[in-house]
Amino acid sequence: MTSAITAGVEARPLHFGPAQRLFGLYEAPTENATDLGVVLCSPVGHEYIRCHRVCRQLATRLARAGFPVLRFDYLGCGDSAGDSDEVRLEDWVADVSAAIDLVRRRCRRICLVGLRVGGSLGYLLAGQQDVDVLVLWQPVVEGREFWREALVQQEDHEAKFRWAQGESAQRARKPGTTREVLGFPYSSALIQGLESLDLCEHPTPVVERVLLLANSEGADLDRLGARLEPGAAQLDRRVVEERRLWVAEPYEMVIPQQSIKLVVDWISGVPE
Amino acid sequence: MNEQAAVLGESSPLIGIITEPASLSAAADRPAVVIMNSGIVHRVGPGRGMVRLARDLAERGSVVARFDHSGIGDSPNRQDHTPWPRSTMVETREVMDDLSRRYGSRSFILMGICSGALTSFHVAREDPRVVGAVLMNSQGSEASAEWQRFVRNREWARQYWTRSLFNADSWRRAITGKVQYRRLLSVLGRQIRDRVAPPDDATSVTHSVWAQLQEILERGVQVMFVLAEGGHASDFFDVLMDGKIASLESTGCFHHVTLERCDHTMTLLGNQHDLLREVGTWMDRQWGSAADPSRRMTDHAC
Repeated sequence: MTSAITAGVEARPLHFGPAQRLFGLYEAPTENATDLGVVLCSPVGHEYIRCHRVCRQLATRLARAGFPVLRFDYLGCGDSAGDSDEVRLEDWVADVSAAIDLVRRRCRRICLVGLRVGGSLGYLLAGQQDVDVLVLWQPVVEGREFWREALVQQEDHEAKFRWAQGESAQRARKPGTTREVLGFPYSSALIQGLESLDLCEHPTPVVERVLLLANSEGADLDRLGARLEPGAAQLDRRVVEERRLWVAEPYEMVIPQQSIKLVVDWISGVPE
Repeated sequence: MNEQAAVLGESSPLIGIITEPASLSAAADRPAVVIMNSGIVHRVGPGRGMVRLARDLAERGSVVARFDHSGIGDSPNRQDHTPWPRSTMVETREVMDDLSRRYGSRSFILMGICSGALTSFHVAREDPRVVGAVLMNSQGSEASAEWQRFVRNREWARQYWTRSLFNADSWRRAITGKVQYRRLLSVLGRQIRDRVAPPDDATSVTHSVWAQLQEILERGVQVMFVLAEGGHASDFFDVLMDGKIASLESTGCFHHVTLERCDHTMTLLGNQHDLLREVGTWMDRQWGSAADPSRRMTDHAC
C-alpha cells in the first residue's frame, strides 16, 4: 500500500523537496476536492510533539470538508532528514515554499495555515511569495519571548532531574548544538534567528483573506493584526479562549475543538 | 542510510517510516527492528528520540520500522471492533509480516517505551519470530486495578521517604497545612499493610507476569529492560523481580539497565544518548554490527 483511504479521504505519506529530504502527509478527498490546497505549518521543537495530534485532527477535518491538505516536517524535525541544530530559520521558510510547490501541482490556489512558529514561518513566506489565504493560529510574533519560555521549561526539567545547565547536550556530543530544549538541539544560528525574529519588522504579506486566531490575547498579536490590516481585503481576528495546547504534554492534551471548528468553517467560507 | 515513507499493515492502514541500512545485502540475516508508539506520542517519539534510535540502529546494520498504531499519530482509526490492546499486537505482527515481504526478514526485535514496551512483551510471547525485546519503562503489565494500586502506592511511599523527607519545601508545606495529610497517611498506612500482607491479587499478578517473562527467556528471546532512575516503571520492575533478578540473569538472555537522571519518556538529549549507547551495545553484543560482524555471539540459546 502507498496510501490509506478512510471515510472518503486518501492519505499518502511521502518524501519531497530538494533531495527528497522532507517528509509529509498529503490528505485529499477521493472525490470533489476543491482547488484550494492547504499547507499546514506545524510548530517546532517540543511544541511540535505536543501539537501533533491537534494538527492531525485539523488536517483530517479539512480534508473531509473537501480540501487537499499537506502537513509536513521541516528539515531537522519530525521524520524529515537531519537534526534541528543543522538548520537556520531561513531553511524552514524554504521548506514551506517547497511544500507550497508540491501542493500547487494539484491545486490552483493555496491556503497557508500555521500554528505557533509555523504561523511565523507562514507569515514570512507569504511576505515573499503569493498565497491566496492565510491562517495564523497564535503565531509567535516575537521570537525572543518564545525562546525565553522554552529555556524556562528546559531549565525546570534540568533542575528536576539534576542536570547542570547545558550538561545534557554536552553529554550527547552534538558539536552543532548550543542549547537544548527538551530533546531538541538548537544551533547558535537558529537561536539567533529565533531571538531576533519580530514579524512586524518583516515585509507585510499582501493576502486577500487572513484569519488571525488567538487562544489568549496579547499586545504582540494586536500589533500583528494592525500590520496585516492594510494589505488584506478581509482580516478576521478571533479569540477563542481555550487552553494553550502547546504547553500541555500529549497525555494532558484536550483537543481545542472550538479552534479547530473555527478554522475549518472559516476556510470553508472562503469564496471559490 | 535511507528512509522510506510507508503504509504498513493489513487489517488497518498504518503510517510509518522504514529506515534502511546503507547495505541491504545482509538484511534478511539480521533481525529487523520494530519500534512502537510511546503512549499516544506519534512515531517520532518523545523529544524525537525514536527517530534518533532508529537511525542509529540502521547505521549498525538493521532495517528499522517505526509506525503509528491505529488512532495514534497519523494512522486512521480501525474500522473493526478489535479492542485495544489486542489491536496493537495484531498491528505489530502485520508490520513484521510487511518487513518479511519487503526484506526477507525472518526474525525481529521489538522496542517501545511504556505502552510500547507492553506491546513488545506480549507480541514476544505470541510470535516465535521475535528474538529480542527492549522494554523501556514498562509498567502496568496487567489490567488488575489492585496490582496497579499496590505498585503505585510503593512509588508514592518511596517518594515520601526519599524526596519529601529531605526537602525543605515539603516540610514548609507540611507545617503550613498545605499537604494532603489524608493521602499521606493513606499511602504510608497501605505501605505497612502491604508489607505485612500483600493483596492476593497483587501476588497472583506478579507470579503470572514472572512466569510469562520466564517463558520467553526460556525460548531464547533476548530481553532488555531499560528503566528511568526513580520512575514508576522502576517500582513495577522491583515488584516484578522481587529479589530474584539473579535467577533471570543466569539465563544469559536477561539484561537490565537504569538510566540516571532520566524521566519516563527519556526526554533530554543526554538521556537519549545514554539510551542509544545501551541499546546499541546490547544489539552489537547479540547480533553484531555492520561495522564489526565478528562481535556477534554464535550461540543465543539460553
